[in-house]
Amino acid sequence: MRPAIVIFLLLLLLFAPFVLDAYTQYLVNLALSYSLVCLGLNLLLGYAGQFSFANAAFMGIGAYTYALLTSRLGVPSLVALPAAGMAATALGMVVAGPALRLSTVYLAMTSLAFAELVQWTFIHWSAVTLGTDGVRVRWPAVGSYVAQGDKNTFYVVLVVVAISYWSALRIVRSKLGRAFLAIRQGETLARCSGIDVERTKTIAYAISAFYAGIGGALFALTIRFIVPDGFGLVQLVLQFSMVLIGGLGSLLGGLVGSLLLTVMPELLRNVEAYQEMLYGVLLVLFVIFMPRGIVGLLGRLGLVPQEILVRGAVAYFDARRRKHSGL
Amino acid sequence: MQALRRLSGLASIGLVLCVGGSAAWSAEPGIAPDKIKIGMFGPLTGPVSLWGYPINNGAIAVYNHVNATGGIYGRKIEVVDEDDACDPAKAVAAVKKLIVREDVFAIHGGTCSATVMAAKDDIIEAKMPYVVMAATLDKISSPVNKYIYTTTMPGSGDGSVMARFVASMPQVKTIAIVKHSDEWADTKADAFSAALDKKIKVVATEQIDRKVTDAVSQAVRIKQLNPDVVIAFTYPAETAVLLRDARKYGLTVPFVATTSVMDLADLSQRAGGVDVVKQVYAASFLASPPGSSASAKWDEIYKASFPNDKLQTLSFFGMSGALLVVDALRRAGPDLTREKFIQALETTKDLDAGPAYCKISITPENHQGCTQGTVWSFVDGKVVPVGATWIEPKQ
Amino acid sequence: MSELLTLIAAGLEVGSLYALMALGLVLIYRTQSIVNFAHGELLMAGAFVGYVAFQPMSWPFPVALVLAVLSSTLLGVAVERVVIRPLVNHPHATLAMATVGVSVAVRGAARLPFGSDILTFPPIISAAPVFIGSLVISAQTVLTIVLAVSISVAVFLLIWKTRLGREIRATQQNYLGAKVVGINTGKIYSSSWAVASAIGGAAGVLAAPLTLLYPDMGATFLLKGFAAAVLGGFGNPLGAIVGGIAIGILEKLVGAYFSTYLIEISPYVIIIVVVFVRPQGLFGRGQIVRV
Repeated sequence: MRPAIVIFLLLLLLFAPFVLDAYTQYLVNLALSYSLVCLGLNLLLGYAGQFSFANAAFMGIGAYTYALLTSRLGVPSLVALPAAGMAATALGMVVAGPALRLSTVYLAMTSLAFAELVQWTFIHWSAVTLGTDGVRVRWPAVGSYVAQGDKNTFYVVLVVVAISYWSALRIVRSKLGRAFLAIRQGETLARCSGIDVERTKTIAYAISAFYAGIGGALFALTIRFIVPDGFGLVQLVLQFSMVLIGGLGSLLGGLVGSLLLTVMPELLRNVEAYQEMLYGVLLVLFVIFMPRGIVGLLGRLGLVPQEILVRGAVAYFDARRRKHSGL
Repeated sequence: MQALRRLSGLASIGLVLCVGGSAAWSAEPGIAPDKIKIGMFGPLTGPVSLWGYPINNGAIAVYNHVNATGGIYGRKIEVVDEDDACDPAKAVAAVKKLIVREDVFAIHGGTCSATVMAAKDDIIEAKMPYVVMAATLDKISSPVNKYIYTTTMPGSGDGSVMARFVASMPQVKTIAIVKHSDEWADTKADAFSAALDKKIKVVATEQIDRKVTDAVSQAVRIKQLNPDVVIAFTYPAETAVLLRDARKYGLTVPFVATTSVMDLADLSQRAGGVDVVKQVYAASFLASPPGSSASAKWDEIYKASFPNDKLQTLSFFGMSGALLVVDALRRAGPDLTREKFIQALETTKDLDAGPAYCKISITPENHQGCTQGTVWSFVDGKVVPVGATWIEPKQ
Repeated sequence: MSELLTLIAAGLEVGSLYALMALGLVLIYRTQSIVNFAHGELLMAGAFVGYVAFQPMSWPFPVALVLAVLSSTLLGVAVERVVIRPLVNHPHATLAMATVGVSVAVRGAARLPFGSDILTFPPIISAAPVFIGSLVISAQTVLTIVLAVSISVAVFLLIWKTRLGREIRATQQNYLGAKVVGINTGKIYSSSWAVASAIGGAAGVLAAPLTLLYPDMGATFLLKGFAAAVLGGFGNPLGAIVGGIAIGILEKLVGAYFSTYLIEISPYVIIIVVVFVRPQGLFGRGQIVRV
């Protein structure tokens, strides 16, 4: 039943370039790249419950690694893509590692400082990053085939996104994924259940940075020109909105959110002045009234399958808590 | 299976929404017997919308004026103005929309250099004639590309106007430079250094960040080195902060600044009075300030379309480009095609650039139509053009 | 030597504003474990209200100051009551998201009337700066520092000498205990936000003549306030103040004696170094984890 839906949707997507115009195709590619960046954020924020400001910076590191490797060093796209993810993970570990041992507020603050440092480096290390001149990105190439144009690039993006979502699904369904949820429910409780909290948090951070980095690489090859400004606080607020409106703690949520928030502003091009305010109000409303986002709502209405995993884990820990506290 | 059916229903609705709205096929895109469609983009949301509206509105005002006086061979110009929020990702979307959905004849737009750089490939691939609105990066139009034209003074022009002016100032031996760290300031600073009289020594190059609250460190550092002139490659708000603190901490030497602060009246308001900006010389690509008798015609054209806007130098940034577009459309003749339009653009010679200082000349080898500029300063409490070189002020 | 004093005076001026920001952040964090990302917008709101009262209305400065403080307070209390209170038992991440949303919404709202221009707030006392040798001090600098110090002292008196202060401290230390002894914790939440927002509004009016006014002006101060709070050991009011002043002075010295390229980045380097070397901050003690 579920695989049938997935295969149907994938087939539908495979034919998308035949019916979409270049403008819509570009928006779809952009939304798909965002969906990976959001996947990273969602794993950390929605699953492991860690609040970090570094996601836009990870995206930037991924975008820059991919862009610089392919256009300045001529590295093949297929090598540069995973390299982008690994670079984000490596840098994230160095700086945020120690913060994970401390309380949440320190992770928030350190990641904020890290994000600013990353942007500062993009701007000032111009010998490598070309500074504020920006980096032009070539069409991706697989072997001797060059995926020229948005329609051909789409297949590259689609394959990477599909593989990433498949692997993410494997992760959240594994023991590790359950450990993430346990930490979200409460660190002390998770520790009592025999989970190595520091290690699990570090892994969550690393995985989330990896996906955000790959997402950044896709972003770079979609818009084909990147500048340091693109990976700051504005970008981060956009990602928060996508994850929250789509559905926190649900893989589908990031996808829905990024599609919606890439297409919606395009449809709302006429209410420009109110856009920003609308974003903010929507964010607040979703936090208060629909904390599980659109996907959560659809789940409640029975339109998409409820995420059995999350509910199961919550029920499991609730039961344990009751047992331990002797109620 | 019910869920599947529901999903496929949703998906097909989505597809229909996405595909809808393709324009009717015609011989030449964006042309109808009674109208010419011109695409426009610029920052209409976000922090930079502060500049986006007046700049695009200036161009719109010129097009409206042309329409009101009969149009071009009976055709009215219809402007499609899209937001890019100064964000490359949005700019690429805006330009693709203009090309694919709106099916415009030509594009006149782009205020942030990064957005133009990002959208450039799409414009070229679509063989779309494009006139830059206000972005100043040299790399946009040089080296020459068949489809890209600019009438905005490029950053290098700004830098060389400043260098020539500094060289003409009496007894200047040492200078200090204050600049932002971005491509906008770098282009100007590089051209300035290249054109600078080699006898003049640069004693310091300081950075000032965007959105700073003060410039005390910069002022104190520069004061210790005591240069004859300070050169500022800074945006208006930051220039105001820099000047205010420079004067406050006793750095009284003249400042030479870029076109970004040619609205000296505005700068004086922000920096705290006319006294603060008395010795400030700003490069300018406009012939005379808004509100002066020389610019009255253009003031009126702008006011006719946007009576509620504040009249500022930004209102004039887009006008020279609009005048170029209109002139080329006229010379391309009634049987308008993109090819004829491009040919007309490439043979523009000594066209009156309206409020701008230069005459627009374009050749197939040079698409930067406007490289001449002048210098403005406060004299007797009024902003006046003082010419490209130093003139001893009357006592 | 006298440039050094000049730099320190200028550093004190911005530093005292960072300190006020950090103090407000810490007060809210202590009471509800919330990192308030909308605090910069409270400062911005105060600055704009102060501007409207002082400039187009040309009311006297004290009136402008009071109006700005009042409106920031109202905004802060409203945010707490409408947005934060329903979420009070949610995880930190949810609360932080909510304040991010508020921040974006308030900024967007401010852009409607104030988005088309960068405004200037004239110095409150327009006396020429005093030169003592080459030490330069302006009346504005002195006024900012004096007002900032008075506000801090008033806040400390409120916390340590009044009944409300005792109740706030009790709630901060033990939420359940406070409830048990009959403290109206809802009122305490509101008052903590009120005090913090009032400080933010006052900081806005004091910052206005120094910086320029635009809807995004809060962001810079928020980030510096964070750095100050971390340096002071997030959660310690005295630490926040010392942290703010230290960062203000450090920025000026780094700029003048090392490189102006490092001014903006130095607070973030401090945050990272503090977390690596001394995570409890200059004044912090060990962490208490609430289960």
